[in-house]
Amino acid sequence: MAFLGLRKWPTPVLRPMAPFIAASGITFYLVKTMQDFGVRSETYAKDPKNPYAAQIAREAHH
Amino acid sequence: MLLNNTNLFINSPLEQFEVTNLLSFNAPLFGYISFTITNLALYTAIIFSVIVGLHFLGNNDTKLLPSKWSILFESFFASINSMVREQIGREIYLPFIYSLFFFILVSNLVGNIPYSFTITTSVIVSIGLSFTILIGVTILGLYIHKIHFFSFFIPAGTPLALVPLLVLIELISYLARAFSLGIRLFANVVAGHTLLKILSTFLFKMFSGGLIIFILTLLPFALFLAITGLELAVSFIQAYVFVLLVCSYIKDAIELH
Repeated sequence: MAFLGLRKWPTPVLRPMAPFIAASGITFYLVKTMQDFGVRSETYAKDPKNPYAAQIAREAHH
Repeated sequence: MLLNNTNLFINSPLEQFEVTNLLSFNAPLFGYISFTITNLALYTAIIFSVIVGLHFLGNNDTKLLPSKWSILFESFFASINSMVREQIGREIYLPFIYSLFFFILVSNLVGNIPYSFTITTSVIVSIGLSFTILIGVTILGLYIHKIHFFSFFIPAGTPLALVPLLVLIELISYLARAFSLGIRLFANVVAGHTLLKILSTFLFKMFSGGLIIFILTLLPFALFLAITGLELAVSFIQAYVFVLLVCSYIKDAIELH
């Protein structure tokens, strides 16, 4: 396997990086939770620049 | 803060750190999908292309005589390799450390170009990165040492009576590593850029004030050039310090002392 025509050496990349890949999954989940919390908060739920404003208003109605 | 996309004048020196939408796609499909390309995403793509392009152009095809670019990349590789070998002892984490160093270095350097956006001034990038690294290092330590990992929180030679207090202090200092690593990078870059923005606004006003004031402003402008040089040095130093500390934390997880 080569990248842009360059030679690839058999350096182990996936096995040493496995803890950090798992950690990035955890961080992604935490940031997503905080973002959802922020988007649906009192201050920004009805903001006209919020792309989810219509969806949050619909969910609040149901 | 209001977005000032149509206004050419800046209102505050902190406006350069705003993440703005460049291209947006919203559709009520699959629930609701909203895909935006922000200036942060654009600059991340630019940094990725710069790093990959530089390494592609600096590749010397295993020729014996080095070209100027390959000397540069070989010396970068040699310094990072020696740092990783000195800290951790093995080269197994070298690809990760090398990529991390280049990512932070190129982000800081691209941000030093006037009117561009520095991605490390975003809290999500800096503190998210340091948080990810700390959680990764903890998972690594727990995987290697299992329950014995917690012996890291008791320094060697502590009297038994002090152990509860010391474990609490060591735990808090370990958890603070997640934030200190990212905040060090974030605060240095944000402070430097804010200072440059404020000074350049003053200098602009002074330079447009007439011929005599223009000539008198050349001295503070020389100082401003020195501070810009300092900002370039800070970009290198912060990348080096971040990567050095990541090596140190990985060593702590592998060797537990």
